[in-house]
Order: sequence, then C-alpha cells, then structure tokens
Amino acid sequence: MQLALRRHWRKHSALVALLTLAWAAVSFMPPLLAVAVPPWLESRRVMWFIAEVAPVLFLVIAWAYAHFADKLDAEYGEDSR
Amino acid sequence: MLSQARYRRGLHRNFAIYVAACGLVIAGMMALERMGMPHQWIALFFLLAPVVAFATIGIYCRTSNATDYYVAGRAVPAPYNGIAIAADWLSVASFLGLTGILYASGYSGLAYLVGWTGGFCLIAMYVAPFLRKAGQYTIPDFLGYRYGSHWPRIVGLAVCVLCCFVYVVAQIYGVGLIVARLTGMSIEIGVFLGLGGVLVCSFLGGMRGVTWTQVAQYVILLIAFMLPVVLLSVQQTGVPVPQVAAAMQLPKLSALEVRLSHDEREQQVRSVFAAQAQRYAVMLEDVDTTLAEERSAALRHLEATLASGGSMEDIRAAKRALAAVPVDSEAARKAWTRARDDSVLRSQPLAGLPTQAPANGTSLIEDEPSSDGARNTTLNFVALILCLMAGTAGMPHVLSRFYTTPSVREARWSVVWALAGIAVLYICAPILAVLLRWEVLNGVVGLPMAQLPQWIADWSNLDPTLVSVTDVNGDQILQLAELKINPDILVLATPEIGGMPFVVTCLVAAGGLSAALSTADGLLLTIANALTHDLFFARAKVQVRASRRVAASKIVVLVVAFFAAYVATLQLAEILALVTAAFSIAAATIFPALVLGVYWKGSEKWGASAGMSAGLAVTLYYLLSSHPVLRELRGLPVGGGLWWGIQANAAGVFGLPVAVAVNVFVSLIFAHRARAETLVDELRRPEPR
Repeated sequence: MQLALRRHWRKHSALVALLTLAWAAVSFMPPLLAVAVPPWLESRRVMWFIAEVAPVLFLVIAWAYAHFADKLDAEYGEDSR
Repeated sequence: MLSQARYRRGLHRNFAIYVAACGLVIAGMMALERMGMPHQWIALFFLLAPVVAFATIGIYCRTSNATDYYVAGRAVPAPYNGIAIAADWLSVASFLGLTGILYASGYSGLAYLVGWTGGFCLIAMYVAPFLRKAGQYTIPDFLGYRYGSHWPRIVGLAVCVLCCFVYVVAQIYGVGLIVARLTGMSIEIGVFLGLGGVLVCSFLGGMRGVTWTQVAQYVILLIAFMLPVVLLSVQQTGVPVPQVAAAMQLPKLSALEVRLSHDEREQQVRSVFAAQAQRYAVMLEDVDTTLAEERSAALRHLEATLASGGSMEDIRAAKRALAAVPVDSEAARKAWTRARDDSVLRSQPLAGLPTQAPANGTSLIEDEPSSDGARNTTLNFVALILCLMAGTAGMPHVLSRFYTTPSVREARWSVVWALAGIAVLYICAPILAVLLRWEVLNGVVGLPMAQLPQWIADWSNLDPTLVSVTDVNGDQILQLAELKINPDILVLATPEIGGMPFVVTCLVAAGGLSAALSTADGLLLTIANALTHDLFFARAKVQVRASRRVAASKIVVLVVAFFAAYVATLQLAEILALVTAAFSIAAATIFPALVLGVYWKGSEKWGASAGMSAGLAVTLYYLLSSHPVLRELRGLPVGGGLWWGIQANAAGVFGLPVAVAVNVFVSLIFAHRARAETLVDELRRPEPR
C-alpha cells in the first residue's frame, strides 16, 4: 500500500510540476514579451492576450488539474483504503 | 446516493427558478419605467429587493449546528460552491475597482486581472484539495492540525484577522458608496445602512447562509455587470459581443487620443495646470509663511467685503474662502501637496491618463505614470502579478470555502467553477474600460459647460471628489484636463454615461451592492470564526457546547462588523489600496505556510510560526515605508522608500521569499519529522470514489 501511495504522490507531483510550468508561462512570458517584442509581434496584441486569453488559459489549467488528479485518485484510491 | 441525486436535482431546479425570476423582475421593472414609474420607487426597489431576497435566504438557512454554521454542513456541491466562491471573490475591488484602474492606469492595471485569476491555479494545485482532506473549520485550524501546535494556529489567526479586516473595511466602504448613490444619503450613513444588509445574510446562518446568499448574489452581479457592457457595445458599434466592439473602437480611440493630445485648447488648459503646480510647489517651500499670508489675505478680503456693504452672496463667498484656508501647517502641507500632485497629473497629455491604444513600438507598461510617482516598470508589473497570485492562494475567506464541499474531488472542481465564474467578468473589464474611455473622450469632452450630461452634476453633488469640473481657461468648453473622475465610480456611472434606462443604473448599483455584500459576509464570518473557534474554543480546556460556540461567533460577527464600519467611515484609503495590502499580507504569510505544510514533511511548528511572522514583518515594514498613503500619514514625501522600484502594492513579493527561507531554516534546526510524516501522508492520500 505504501508503494502505491508513493507512486500516486510522484505522479501527482509530476502533474503539478507540469501545470505549474504552464501557469508560469502564461503568467510571466507575456509581460516580458510586451517589453522586448520581436518585430512581427505587436505589443498591443501581447496586452490583449493578457487581458482576454490568459484568464481562459488559467481555467484550462485548473480544469486539467481537476481532471487528471481525479483520474489518479480513481486509479490509486482503492489501494489507499 | 439516491437522496444526494434528489438533493442536487432540487438545487438545480431552485437555481433555475431563481435565475428566471431575476430576468423577469428586471424585464418587468424596465416595462414599468417606460410606463412612468417614478425613479425614486425604482431605486428603492433595487435597493430593498436584493437585500430582502438575501435576508430571506439567510433566515431560511439559520442554524445553531456547528458543522452547518462553520462549514455549511460540508454539503455544497462543486458548481454551487464554485459560484459562491466567485461571488465571494468578486468584491467591490473587482466589480468597481478593476475597470476603474484599467481606465486610469492603462495596461499596467492588467497585472490585477492576471494576478487575481492565475492565483486560482495555485489554489487548485497547492491548497484546496489538502484543506478539504484535513476537514477542519478554519485556516488557523488547519495550521494547528498540520503543525501539531497552537503557535502556528495563533500566528495564523493574527494574520487572518489582520488580512480579512483590512479587506472588509474596503468592502463596507464600497457598500456605503453604493447605498449613498441609490438613496442620496451621505456615505457615512450609507455605510451603516449597508452594514445591516451584510449582517442579515451572515448573522443567523453562518457559512450555510452565506453560501446560498452568495450563489444568489452572483446571479445579480453577473447580470448587472454584463448587461451594461453588452448595451454599450451595441450602442457604439451595433455588435453585441463586447470583445468585437472593443476591437472596432480601439483604432478610433487611438486617433482621438492623438488629436486631443495636440489640441490647442487642451494644451492651453495643461499649461494653466502646470502653472498651478508650480505655484503650489512655491507655497510648499515655506508652508508657515504662505499659510499666514493666505489667511490674512482671506481675512482682509472678508473685511473689505463687509465694509463696502457687499451682497449676501459676496459675503458668503468671502466666508467660504476664509474657511477653505487650512487650519494649521500640517493640514496646509497635505492639502497643497495633493493639489500640486493633481495639477502635475492634469498638466500632462490626456490629463495623465495613459493611452488605451498606443502605437506599436511603445512600451505599454513602462511609459505609464503611476499614482505615487514611481515609474511603472516591467519588474513592478511581474512583482505585482506574483504578489496577487500568492495572495489569492492565501486569502483566508476564499480558502475556508473549500471545507464546505462533500469531498476532495468536489473541492477541486469548485476551483474550476469559481474560476469560470470569475473569468466571465474579468475578460469584460478591459473592454468596459475601452468603451467608457470612448464615451468620455468622444461624447463628453468638447461639450459646452452648460450642456454637460446630467450624470456629471449628479455625481458631483453627491461628492465633489468623485466627479468635478472646472473651467480653468474660461472658454465655457470642457477640456479633458478640466474633468476629474474618481475611477471607482466608473462602473456605477456606466449606465448614465451610456444614456441607458434608469433601471440599468439601479441594476448596476444592486450588482455592486451584491458584490460588496457577498465578500463582506465571507470576510466577517472568517474573522469571527477564527476569533471564536481558534482563539477560545480550540484551546479551551473544557469542552463547550456547539450551540454556545455558534452563539459566541454570532456576537463576534456583530462587534467586528460595527468596528469595521466605523473604520470605513474614516475613508483612510482607496478601495484598491486597502485590498492590495491585504493580498500582500496573505501572500507573505498564509500561502507559504500552507504550501510548505503539504509539500514538505520537514516543515514544523517553529519554522511555520517564524516564517509567517518574518513574512508579515517584512511586508508590513515595506508597506509602512513605501505606501503613498501611509507615508503621507507619517509626514514623509510620497514616492520614496522603494526597493528596486517595486511599488507598495506588491509588498508581499518581499515577504514571501523571507517567509519561505525562515520556515525552511528554522524547521531544519528543530526537525521533528516523525509526526509530520504520518499526517502529511494522510493529507496526500488519494480519495477513494
């Protein structure tokens, strides 16, 4: 049982690490891009990405966590009884 | 299982009936307005009807059962918990303040939008499921449980109360503002009237009453925010999709901003304000002498008016001029500094408003002025995002909502529903800022003074600091720099600015009221529950009956509410300034303690206590030494005391790493892993279906 719990926690931590990277990219890359924009990317578009797209992407990240964490619980939950 | 399914079906049915009823009522009131119903009756209806509805729910949900009172019986399904969290979250700062700050501060205000939504990802992954797994009643309760000691509980309690109290003062002030607008009473009376509305929802039912009233409040605030945005989009472009309308207006807005910046009369007005700023700067060089001269000049003018037998109007004007002279040097310094800063702002192009539609190649963040004179930098933008995200994930009144779901799984999905409910509003706030900017610059600026829209006079009469107009160049035409609008009132004034029916004006006010009430309820309950449960009963040597504990919590709710209302009437700072201070405190204390408590078995009681204390100390120090309002209160010049140019509203970004470092360092010294191993394993255990 302990092995199963450890395996569960490792997979859960990997899921969290991956989604945290995605979260960091959505949160911090646009403001850095807004200052150092490449010529083909307009700074106004970056700001509109922040305003309109970023909240939706955060929702996707939260959904992904809930969905995959639920699957992990379903896979390992019986072992934890 | 069957009764659960039946319970949920009942909830869905009641919710659908409630939403349909709201729609019918709004449509009905619009029809009645067209038929000639007096505006006072419409305003009274929209003030009283929501409060009566919320009070009915609050009374229906009354309870003395501890589990119902503290955690709503742990029976709130994910969608409704999520909606309640969204309502709890969408405070006056979100409903009124976000659009205002985007209007006044431009793109640098987007840090709030990103910070307040991205923080929910951190809640989902790092906090919510583990809080629910622990199954406690409050956040300090969890800290006490995880760290096996009262010290983290006590430090956590102090931080929770401080954080939530600062936040609730801002909400109650917002309630006062809205009630005052609807009733025409002063803001001070509005605050205490609004307090009544707050208490009817939270006093009797605790978390159970607050949860279901918040679900009801969300429906109202969603309709109240979205309807004016859609109507304004249709009015300006004929397109009901706000995002499309804003994209169509931005190029026109850009051209208008350029034209206004180069307009001859605008430049003339700006030079008048520049001269005014210079005059105030000279006055501030020797306050005592200037004050004496001003007072004697006003006195001489009054004496001359009386001696020459001037009219009553002239005498009254002379007396007002004498009364307007500051009473002492300190008051004179504050008043003239504020006037100088205001004149400096208005002497800039677009009266200090950052452009909403700049040309390519400009740095959208770094060119914008900020209210405390510090430069907006990318570093500051990123720091504020980080601070707001960590603060979101450490906000006690939001985190305690995750105790109310039936399971860990439902707690996770609550976050998704909450973020969906919040994102719907947040993506429309920048749109509204753009559309309002167009309305003001295109529809108001350039009008003759005698033909200004009624909303300017209405808001100016309510409180001249909210909207004011001064014809500085005497041409009887309104230039942009001659108009001053407090950003906090923009959303409330949107229907009037857009010429919408009065019902929409009242609906927006009711939405703002719902937003303020929902958050204030959650905050008051969090403070009261923490004070009673964690300060007294969790540490009591004798077991106290649950009904007595609940009764004690209700009394504390009353006391805290009245004290917060009193502090709100002092109007110490703008709503957003208070709210960001609360976020900084939460980011530097509760968030690191919770995350380390779950993800690191080595974190122990002394480390957690020391970490929270150190994070709080650094954050408070930075707030006191760099926040413009606090510096002014201490008689220091505004704009100083910044570290790496990071503004005070991101103070938590300094406290957070200190809290983590101290927690880790002290925990390593006092290592006691054995107890924590079992407990943390239990928190991480997957939940069987």
